[in-house]
Amino acid sequence: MISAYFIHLGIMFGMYALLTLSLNLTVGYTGLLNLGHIAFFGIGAYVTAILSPHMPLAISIPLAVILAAAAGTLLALPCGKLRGDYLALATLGFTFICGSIARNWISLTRGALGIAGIQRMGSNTMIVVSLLALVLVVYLILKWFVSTPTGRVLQAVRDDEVAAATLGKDVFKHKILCLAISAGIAGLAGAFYAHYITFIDPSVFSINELILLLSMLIVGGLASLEGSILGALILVLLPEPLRFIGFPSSLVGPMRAMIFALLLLLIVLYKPRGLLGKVDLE
Amino acid sequence: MMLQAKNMSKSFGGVHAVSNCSIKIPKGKITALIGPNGAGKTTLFNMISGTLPSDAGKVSFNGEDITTLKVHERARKGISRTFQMTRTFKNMTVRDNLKLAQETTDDKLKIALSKVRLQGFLDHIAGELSYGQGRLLELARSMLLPHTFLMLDEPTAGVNPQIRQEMKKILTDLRKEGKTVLFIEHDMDFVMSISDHVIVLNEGKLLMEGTPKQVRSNPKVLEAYLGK
Repeated sequence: MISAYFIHLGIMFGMYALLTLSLNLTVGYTGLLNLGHIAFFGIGAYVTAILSPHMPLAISIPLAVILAAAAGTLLALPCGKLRGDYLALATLGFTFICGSIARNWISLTRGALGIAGIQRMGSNTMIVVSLLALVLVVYLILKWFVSTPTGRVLQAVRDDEVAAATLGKDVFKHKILCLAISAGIAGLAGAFYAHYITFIDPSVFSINELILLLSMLIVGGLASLEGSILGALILVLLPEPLRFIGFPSSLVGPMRAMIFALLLLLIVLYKPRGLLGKVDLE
Repeated sequence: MMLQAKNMSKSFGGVHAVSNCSIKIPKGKITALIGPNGAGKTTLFNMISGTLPSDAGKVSFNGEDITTLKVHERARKGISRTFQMTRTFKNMTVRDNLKLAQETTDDKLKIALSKVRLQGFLDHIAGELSYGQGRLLELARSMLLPHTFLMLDEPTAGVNPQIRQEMKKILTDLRKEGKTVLFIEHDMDFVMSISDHVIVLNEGKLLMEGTPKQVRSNPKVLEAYLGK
């Protein structure tokens, strides 16, 4: 029983670590305030949930990653010229649109009823091991990627995209690449989620999940992959003691939100770069 | 001619920053773009490099029309530039700033830095440099970018007199290498001592162009700077 609980925590940590690592690529490394990230997670979850009854997971999960990456590319095309607040609003709108499609395209998604009985990926132990291995692989790949010339251009785009362009860098193309990679990883996390929980509904596009992700990113720090992992770990584990204190369940949710808010406040006041961040929140 | 800008115009609301202005930049020479504050020098500069879209006009580089090219495409043609307000990548190291201009070895980066007296700063974060050092880093970066035409917007602003002398040497060395330089400058001694060709703008229009001697003795130029 205890081991099942820790395995669940490990799976939650693995999924959020993947999401935060990929979000850091767009927000921390490229400076794109992308509030559409949770939509890619949802797209990955829905794609594999819809396709997996008709094909092996070895095909449906990669397809989920590809379609999430394609959605990232599609989002980047109209949003590539936007920055800051405008980009945030446009990408947030994308999240709402995806949620609305999931609720209203009933013949495909079963609307608000959601999709139940999704094929399990395997035992929970198998899921946690593969997910944690995946976190390590994604971490190592991203660590390498941000140190390549292409990764350097992404960071230059974050600091000053006009100056990057005057050095011959195609800013728009790099933004598309960044969003596609980031969305693909989020889609992968979504696919794992669908095959672990075995049920999804339009709440996967919820703004609460997005806020949680942003909190993990801010706590861990921008432009730090280690920070992303640490942020995910802290925010997955932090509210857990509340389960054992014996508060009524109606209080646990609000208290969890209060703890997150307090933590964010402390971070912004005393450690504005987050625990391991390398750039300022702007 | 290295570069020709024909009938360039740019307005901001009702203000005509540059109106119907045409200039020619000779190949392998150092050309200064001067004029009083608000003459439209930086606006024209930005339209040439593509960082500001023009309302009208045509820009040709080495005989090729580059008017519709984007900023990065113009840079790849060989146009390199610095900015009036320094634009380094502040969260990145000096090394990464330079490597964005050219992927090369640390030894070559150190040589580029030593030209602007920033040797030993390779591992520093660009945002932690002083204002003057930031300008020098930007200059080193623009020189490291493969180019044939270098545009410098007030290169001596905020740098000490010693570096100013060093900058003269850098620019004359570039001329010897056959590079073309266009720079905006307010320091007239610097302009007159180094330029082969001077272009004077006033109120967004071409006032005159010629050798430093011709410009210095032109009453219209004196009037533009000092008033009637």
